[in-house]
Amino acid sequence: MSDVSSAVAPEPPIPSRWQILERMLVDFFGAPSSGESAALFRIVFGVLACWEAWAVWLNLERYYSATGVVTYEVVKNDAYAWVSLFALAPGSNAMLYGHGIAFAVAAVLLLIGFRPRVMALVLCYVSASLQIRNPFVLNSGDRLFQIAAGLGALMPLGHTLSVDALIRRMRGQPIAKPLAIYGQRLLQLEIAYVYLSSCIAKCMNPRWIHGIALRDVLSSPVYAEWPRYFDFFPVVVTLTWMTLVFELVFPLAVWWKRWRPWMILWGIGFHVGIDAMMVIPVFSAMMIVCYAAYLTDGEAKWVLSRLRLRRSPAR
Amino acid sequence: MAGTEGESQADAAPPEGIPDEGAALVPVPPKLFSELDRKGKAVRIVAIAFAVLHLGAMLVGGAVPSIKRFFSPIVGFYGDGLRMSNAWGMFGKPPTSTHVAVEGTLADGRIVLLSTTDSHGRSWFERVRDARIRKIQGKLAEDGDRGRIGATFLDYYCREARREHPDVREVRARNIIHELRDDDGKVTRQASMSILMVRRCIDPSQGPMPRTIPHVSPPAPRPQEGGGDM
Repeated sequence: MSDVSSAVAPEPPIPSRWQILERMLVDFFGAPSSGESAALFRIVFGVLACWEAWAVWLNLERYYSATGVVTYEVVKNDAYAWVSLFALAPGSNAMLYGHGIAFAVAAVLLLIGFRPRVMALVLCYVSASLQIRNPFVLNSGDRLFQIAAGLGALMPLGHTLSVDALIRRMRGQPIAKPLAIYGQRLLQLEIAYVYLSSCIAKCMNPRWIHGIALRDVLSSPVYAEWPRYFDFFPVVVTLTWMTLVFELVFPLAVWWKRWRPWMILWGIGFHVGIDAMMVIPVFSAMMIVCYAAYLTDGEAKWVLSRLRLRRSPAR
Repeated sequence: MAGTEGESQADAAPPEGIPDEGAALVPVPPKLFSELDRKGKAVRIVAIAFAVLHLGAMLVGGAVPSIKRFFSPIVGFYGDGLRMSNAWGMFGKPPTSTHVAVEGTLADGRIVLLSTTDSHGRSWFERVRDARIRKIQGKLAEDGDRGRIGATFLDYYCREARREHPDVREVRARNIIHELRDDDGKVTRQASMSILMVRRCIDPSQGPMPRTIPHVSPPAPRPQEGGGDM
């Protein structure tokens, strides 16, 4: 008769709290990604980057040249002015147009997926350099664009649906190894923080708590597309509190697969509404673009198949 | 949480027979630090350090000035120097901005509108081109920023105005203050205008030229609708 006790595997050691915490963090930041989600983010972000590049070109001389609205003398003593390449040659047209060309070329190459992580870094730096050269035109959308570009460099942007992937296939090289979704997680946390931070700032103002704040905003001829005083209080209070509820709920609920599609749809509606009713450039488009980073590869593959950019996973 | 609720990033199985870049993905859980080799440990340390730096700068960027000052030696360069953080208190305070118009005075006393923050009535192209003019031109209404950029800003419009109006004598920034009402609908501030700054045009050098729009002489409640800016 065999010894029963010798056939039983030894009990695995009970992990410590630290090991459990480490496992959670490692799973959260280190889960492997095939790059579908990053590819979707790259494509929509690339389209926006091309749009931004056009806007930069339209204003290159007005905002950033030596004969523009802000001369270099005004900003040369700012902290970190040296970070901008303009510090090397403030009056140089080559430097000015070099920024414009680098921005445009990086935007197009990012869109098509040629060395996209390098291009994301180039976009991040050129955008920062322009912001340092003229900090007076900066808006939140521009800053978010730059942060997303920087974090995008940590994503597997070129693993699929890219020129890089095509080159690898043509050369008969093996497909790229899965990469951790580390960069994607940082961008997800950034977007969640944007909403939470905005919600907290609003909650410190009694007019938001009392439900009247959006009347101030929507009556401003500077910010509102059709400025008017809304006299019907239920509409104002509903819009005001719905804004707070969205900014509080989205960053908490978007992590759950079950709630994610609804949060993203709600967010798209929220930002399309802002874009339609208010004169705030770039920011809404940027937030919607960043929602792509919240999708899993499976969800992104589904979206891409609907956009006819990827064969449908269903036969 | 995504990634921790049993869903994998590669949770959609590719269809049979269809080559897919994701096909080689084997859902192996990432290793713990102690399971990594030397190079893996170095990469993990760098990744942790960057995540702490970025998330720290993110939190500090939205904090009150005293906290920002305290952490500035650590995250200042990354957050402010590389512009990788920001405060996101959008409309946390009631909007106080007003429209600012830049106008030129010609030799015959006529006034031409050179630029305005008011985007109403602009064409689609003008909206794209001038999307950020509200930010910078609106700063002329603030004393500190006007002191920094006011002169060079108006000098630019002196040069631009000369492209179409060689006889432009001076350029001025006009604050267009809109009416405000309280919650009962009573007017608490009447609409008005004030001149923020005047700059005499003495430098005839030319620069790139946005178009200028003839403007009805002041006082007018706001720049002409449909005209667009320079």
